Amino acid sequence: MKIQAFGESALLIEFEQKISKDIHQQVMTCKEWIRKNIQSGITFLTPAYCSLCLGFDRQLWQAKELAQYIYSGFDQNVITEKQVGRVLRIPVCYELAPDREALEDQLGLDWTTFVEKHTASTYQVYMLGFLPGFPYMGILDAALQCKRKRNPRKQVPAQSVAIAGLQTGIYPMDAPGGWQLIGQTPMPILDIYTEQQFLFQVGDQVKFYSIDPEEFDLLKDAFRKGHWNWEECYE
Amino acid sequence: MLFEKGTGIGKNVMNNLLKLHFEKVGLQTSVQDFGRIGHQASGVPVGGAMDQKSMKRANLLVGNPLDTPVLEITLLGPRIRMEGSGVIAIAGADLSAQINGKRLLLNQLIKVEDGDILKFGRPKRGCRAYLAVGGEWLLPEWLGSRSAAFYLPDATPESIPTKGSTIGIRAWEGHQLSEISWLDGEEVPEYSIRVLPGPEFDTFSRVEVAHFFSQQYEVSNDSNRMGYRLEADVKIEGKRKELISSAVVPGTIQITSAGNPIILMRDAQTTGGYHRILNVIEEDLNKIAQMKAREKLRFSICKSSNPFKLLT
Repeated sequence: MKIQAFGESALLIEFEQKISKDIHQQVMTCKEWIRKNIQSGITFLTPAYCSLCLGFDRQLWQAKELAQYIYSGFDQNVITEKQVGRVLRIPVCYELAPDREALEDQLGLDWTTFVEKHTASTYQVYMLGFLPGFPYMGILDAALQCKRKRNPRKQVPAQSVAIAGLQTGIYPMDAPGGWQLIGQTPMPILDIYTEQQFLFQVGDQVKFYSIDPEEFDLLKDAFRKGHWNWEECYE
Repeated sequence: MLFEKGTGIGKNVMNNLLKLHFEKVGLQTSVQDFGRIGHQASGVPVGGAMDQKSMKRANLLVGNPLDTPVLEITLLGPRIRMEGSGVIAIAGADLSAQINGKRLLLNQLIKVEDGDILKFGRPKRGCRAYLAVGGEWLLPEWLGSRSAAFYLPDATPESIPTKGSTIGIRAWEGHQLSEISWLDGEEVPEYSIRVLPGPEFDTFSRVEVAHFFSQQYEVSNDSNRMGYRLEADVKIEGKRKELISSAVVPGTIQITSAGNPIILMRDAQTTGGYHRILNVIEEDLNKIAQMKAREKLRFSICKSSNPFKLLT
């Protein structure tokens, strides 16, 4: 674990720089430890794959004091919170896939195999970033590993499911983006009119299942009308 | 140096509704406050006024709490018709503000009456002006802030004025003016921006660091509330290890794969994958907010702050 000052009012806590569940567990345990042990003057906590950024009130804390406090009190080898994140089931229509042909060529897979592989894994939400509510999920089956698009799209439609490298994600809103688009979910993953707003939290486990265009339309309509029991997506 | 007189007030609270009618919106006009802090874990940018010092000064003049929303006005201002009366003040950039055709001074408390037209002319100094109105802004919040979320307009529809839209303020009128004298920044041929080493500072060679600090940068046209892109003769394009994405904050300076620096501003995303060479000190981030495309800057490392590194 390495702690360094990040600007005047934040610290960056870095763990072993690799993408793995174990390292991420350390990040999340550290985040909980800080929440419990530093009562005041923490302005934000941004967990990522293998780092945690902590914002603090610099009228109250000095960077060095906080760093020393964490070094002396937090032991990264003791995972106190065996957090088994929530498990979410997300429907995806893989027929709404603008990059299907390009990916079939690039990966040498037919689409049925691609969908089988993408729905076979349980993914972990490692980080939210890039856009509000955008989940960075991993780890993708190595057979699906692909590059970002050379020319990013100016407008990716909201709720597009995408992949890049060993990651998979979902666009919460219309936005420019360079990931390969493999499907669309009818579920709003950012809904400002609900209390929770963001569907995902860091630490969630996610499973995708395939739906056809007809089910997609039905579900989309159900979400729009509010005829959907959100509990159904939690396992 | 420009030496301007401002005024402060003891306020005489008189609640009445003041409506700002946008007859023209200008280049980029939005409602801003200190932004939404604490939602970075959900990927929500901090946002907020680009030049927070000017935002505070404008609010102080009209007798508002300093975190009251203001209108951030960029280069080419809006035309606003007042319905009702109240007090306003403008701080930050000089964008040739006028009321009913008469030139307004910056950093002054100004009374406005029903039917007054506030408009802006040629940008004279700086990039962003802040219009404060004395009273309570009647706007919905999203995640604790009224700052415009350009990436999700539905979340703050009233904070992004459009032609014909209106913002309502429960306004008060002030009296008992006391004087405040402020020194406003002025156009300089070259800005000096103070920085601290960032997380990946040590991955840059001595030669690269020397180049970085010895040269002058120009603000690119492609600069906005998310980031300022900089251009220079010598690019920092040494081959670097790919990073696993991690947090960034407003003020972080990243070096892109093409070797150009980007200064992340208030609306920047919360995570990034480029090397974070430096962080601009918070005070100087306000200074950058007043810089326009093609203006020039240099960086100087902040020695007094004693940045530290601890390893285990």
